[in-house]
Amino acid sequence: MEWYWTLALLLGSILFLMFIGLPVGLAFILVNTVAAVVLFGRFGDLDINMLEGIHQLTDNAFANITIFAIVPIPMFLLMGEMFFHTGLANKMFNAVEQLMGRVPARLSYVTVAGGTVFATLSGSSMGSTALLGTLMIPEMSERGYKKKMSIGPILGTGGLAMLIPPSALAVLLGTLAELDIGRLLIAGIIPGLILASFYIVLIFVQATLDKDAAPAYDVVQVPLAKRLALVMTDVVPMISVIVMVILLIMFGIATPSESAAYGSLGVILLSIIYLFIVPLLRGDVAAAKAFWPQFGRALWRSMWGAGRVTVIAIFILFGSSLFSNVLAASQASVSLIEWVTSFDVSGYALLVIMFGVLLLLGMFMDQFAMMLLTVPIFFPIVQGIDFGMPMNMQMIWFAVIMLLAMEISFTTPPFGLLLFVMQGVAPPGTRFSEICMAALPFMMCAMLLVALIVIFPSIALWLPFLGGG
Amino acid sequence: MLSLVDRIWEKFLWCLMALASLYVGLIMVAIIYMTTSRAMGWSYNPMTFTFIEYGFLYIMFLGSPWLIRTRSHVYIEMLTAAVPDKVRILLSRLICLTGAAVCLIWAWYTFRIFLEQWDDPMAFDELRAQFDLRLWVSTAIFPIGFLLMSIEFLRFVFTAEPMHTGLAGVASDRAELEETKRTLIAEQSTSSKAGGQ
Amino acid sequence: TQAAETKLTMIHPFPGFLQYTKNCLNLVAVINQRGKGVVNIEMLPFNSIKMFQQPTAVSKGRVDLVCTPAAFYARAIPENEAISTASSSAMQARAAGGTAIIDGLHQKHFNTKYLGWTSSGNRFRIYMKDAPKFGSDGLPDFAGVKMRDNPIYGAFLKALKATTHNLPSSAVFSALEKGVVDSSAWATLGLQGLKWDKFLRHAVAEEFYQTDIGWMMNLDKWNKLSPAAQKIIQGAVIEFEALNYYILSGMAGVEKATLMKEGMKFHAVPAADKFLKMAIDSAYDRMDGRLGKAGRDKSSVSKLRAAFQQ
Ligand code: NA
Ligand code: NA
Repeated sequence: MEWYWTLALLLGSILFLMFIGLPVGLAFILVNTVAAVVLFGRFGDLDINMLEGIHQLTDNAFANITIFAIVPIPMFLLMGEMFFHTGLANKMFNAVEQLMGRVPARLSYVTVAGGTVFATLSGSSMGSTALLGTLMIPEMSERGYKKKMSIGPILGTGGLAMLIPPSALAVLLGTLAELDIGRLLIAGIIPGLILASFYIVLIFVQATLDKDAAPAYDVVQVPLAKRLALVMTDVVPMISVIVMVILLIMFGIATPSESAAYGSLGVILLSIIYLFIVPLLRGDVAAAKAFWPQFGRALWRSMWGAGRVTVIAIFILFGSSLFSNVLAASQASVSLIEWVTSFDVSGYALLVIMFGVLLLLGMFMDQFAMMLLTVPIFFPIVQGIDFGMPMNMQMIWFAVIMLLAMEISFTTPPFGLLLFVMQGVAPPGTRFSEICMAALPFMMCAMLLVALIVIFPSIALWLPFLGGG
Repeated sequence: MLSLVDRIWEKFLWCLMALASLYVGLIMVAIIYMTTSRAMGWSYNPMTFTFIEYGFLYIMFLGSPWLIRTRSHVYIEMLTAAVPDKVRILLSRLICLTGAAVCLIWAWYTFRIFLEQWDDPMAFDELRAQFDLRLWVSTAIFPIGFLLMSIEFLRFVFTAEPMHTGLAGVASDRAELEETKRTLIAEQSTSSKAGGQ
Repeated sequence: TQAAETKLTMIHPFPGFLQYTKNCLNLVAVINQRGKGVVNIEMLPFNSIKMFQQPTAVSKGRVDLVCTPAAFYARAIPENEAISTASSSAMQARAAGGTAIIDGLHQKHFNTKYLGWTSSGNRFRIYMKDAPKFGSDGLPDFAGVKMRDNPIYGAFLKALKATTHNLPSSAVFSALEKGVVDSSAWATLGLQGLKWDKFLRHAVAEEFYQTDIGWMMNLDKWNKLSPAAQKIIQGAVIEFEALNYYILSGMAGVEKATLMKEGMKFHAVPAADKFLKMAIDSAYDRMDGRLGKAGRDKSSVSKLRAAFQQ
C-alpha cells in the first residue's frame, strides 16, 4: 500500500472513531491494535499475531509512559488545583475586582482576568468557558451589560490562559514535542501581555463606542491606602509563587518538570501563613482553628482534581504516543515529512497549511487530542524548514504559534467547540449568531498576535533566550 | 440486590481512583525530597525516580475505570448530540460494546504477557538496569486495569441512561464543570462568613 | 528458476544524525548492494519501536534485525557486559573466539544470532566542569561532584564514591548549564556534537570501556536464510567490524585533538592501572552476581574476559 493510503486510513479511522463518540484514548488504542497486528504479526496464526502485536504495543507503552518527562502534567495541575481549592485564587480575583473601582465595563475586565486565572488553573478552556458562562453572564446581564461585553471576554480568555504561565497545555505541548519547557513557558509571557493589552483596548473601545454596552453603576469606593494593602496582601503573594516557579527554572535549582512541585509547596505554605498564622497573630483563634479541617479538605480535593485530569491525560497519551510509533513503523509519517519538505513552497506557506489543519480539527476536538494527533507530524516538518533562526528557537517559536492556533480554532465561527459549549450555558434566548459576533473581535486580536509573532519572532523569543541559546 | 453490588463496586472503583490521587500527592513529595537533596549535595535514594516513573502507569490504570463510570474521559458528543434520542442510545451502546471488547482483548493478551514475564527469570526492566526490577512489575497492572475498564464499558451497554448524554461538547469538561459547581456550592455552604461574591 | 529476494526488516535505536546510525545505515547499504536478487534489508524509521524494547522485538521475531548496544539487553544476557567493558578491538575479540562465545549465548538464551560488534574504537572518559582532585590512593576523588549516571558505568562511578544523578542525555545540556550536574562520563566521540564541551572543560584522561553496538538477527529467520544470503550478511558485518574501528578511533582522535586545542584540560590519573582495573572489576562483579542470581552457567566468563581484555 502506498504511504498516503496508509496515512489516510490510519488518520481517517481515528477521526471517524472520535467523531462517533468513542473515548479519544480508546480510538487510538483500537486503531493501534489493528495496525500493530498487521505490522508486527508475521506468524501466520491470528492468536500469535495478536499476542505479538499487543506485546509490542505494551512494550512501547511502558517506554512511553514510565518516563520522568510526564512529571509536569500532574505537578502543574496540582499547583493549579491548590491555588483554587485553598481559596487563594479567589482572594486574588476579589481583590482585583475591588481594585478596579468605578472603571467603565469593569466586569468585562474582571472576566478576562478571572477567566485567565481559572482557565490556567483548570487547564481547560472548555471547562472555564462553561463555568464563567454560567456564573458571569447572568450577573452581567443583570447590570445591563450587552451580551458582546460578557460572552466575548469569556471566549477570549482561553487564548490568554494558554500563554501566561503556568499553562498546563504549554507544559503538555513541551512534553510531547520534547521542547525546553522552561523556555516555552517563559516564551508565552510577552505575547500573553500583548494579547491582554489588546483585549483591554478592545473592551475600552467597545465600551466607549457603545455607551449602553456596559452601563456604569454605583460601587463602594475603596480608599487608596486600603487598595495598596489589598495589593500587598492578596495579589503580591499569589503572583510571587508563580514568579518563584519561573525563577527556580531560570536559576536551575529545579528543572521545569520539578519546579511545579515547589509551586504546590509554595501554595501550601502560603495558605498556612494566610489562613492560619495571620488569624492567630490577630487573635482570631476561631478562624485559626477552623483552618486545619478546611486545609485537609483543600489538599484532598487538589490531589483528587489533579489526579483525575492526570488519568485523563495519560490515558490519551497512552494511545497517542503508541500511534506515533505505529505511524513511524508504517513509514507513513516519514514519507509524509519527506513529501512535504520536498516541495519548493516557502516555509510560510506550510505554516499557513498547518494553521488551517488546526482550525479544522478545532471544530470537534479538544486541545489534548489535537496536540497528540499533530505534534508527531508537525514538529518534524518544522524541523525540516529553515526560517532563518537557530533550530531550538524555531521550535519554541512554532510551539507558541501552535498554542494560539489551537485556541483560535476553538472559537472560529461558524464552527468551534467553545461556541457550542457557550450556547449550551448562555441564558435562554441567546442566538448562536450573537455568540459568533461576540467572539469575532477577540479572535481577530489573537489572529493579529499570531501575525505579529510570525513577522517578529522576537516577541516570543527575546525573553526565553535572554541569556543566550 | 444488583444495585447493592453495583454500589459496592462503585465504592471499590472510587477507592482505586483515590489511590491514584494519593499517588499524585506522593509524587510531589518525592520530587521535593529529590531536588532538595540534589541542591544540598546530599545523596538520595535513586529508586525515587523509578517510584515516580512507574507511578504514571499505575495512576492511569487505577483511575481509568472510575472515570469511565463517571463519564469523565475525553469523548466528543457531536454526532450523538445531533441525532434523535433512539439513535443516540443505540449508537452509545454500540460504542460501549466496542470499548468493552477492545479492553477485554487487551486484558487477555496482556495477562498472557504478564505470565510469560513472570516465568522468565531474565526479563528485567533494561532501562533501569541498575535496579533489580522484573518486567512483570509494570505489566501486572495492564490486565487488571483493562479488565476493570472493560466491565465499566459493558455496564453502560445495559444501564438505563447510556454513556452519551446527548449534550454537545467534550464529556470530561462537562464532568469537570459539574464537579466544580458541586465544590463551589459545598464551599459556600460550609464557609461561615460568606462574604465577597 | 531464481528464488525471490528475501526481504528483511531492521530497526535502529538512535536518531539519524548520530555516527552510530550512519555506520549502521552504511552497512545496510552495502548488504543491499551485494545482495541484489538474494536479500534486501528494509530499515524501519526511528522511533517505530522504543530503543530498550528493540532487542525483545527481534528475539520474538516481530522484526528481523537490529543494530543496538549490548548493554540494552544486558539483563537478558549478563555476559554482554564483556563487550561494553572491552579493551580489545572487535577484530581481536573475534580472533580470540570471544565473539563466537557471545553468539552462542545469544542463540541459547535469546533466540538471536549475534553477527558482530560494529562499534569498537570509541571509548569512554569522565568529563568535568572543574579540574578533578586526586586522593592519596592515586584515584580521582569525586566527593561533592554531581555526576550524571548511566546504567553502563554507574557501578564504576559508585565504586569511585561519586554522587550520581539519573538524567536522560537530552536533559544534560540544560542540567550542565544550570549546575544541576557538573560532570558526566561520555564517549570519546560526540561530546562536541552535543555541545557539552561548552561547560565541561576538564577530562579524566584515562579512557575505559567501549561503545558496544552490534548486529543481531532473529535466530529462526537466520536459520531460514539461504547460505548465500547468510554469507553476504555475515561477511559484510565482519568487514565493518574493522572498518568502523578505524573510522571511530580516527574520529575520536580528531575530536580529542580539537578539544585540547580549544582548551580542554586532560588530567592523568596517578594510579591509572588501579583505576582501569576497578572499572572492569566493578562490571564483572555485577555480571557474576546476575548470573548467580539467575542460576546460569558461569563457565564462559573467564574466557570472555580473556578475549575482550587483551
Ligand atoms: Na480540565
Ligand atoms: Na496559563
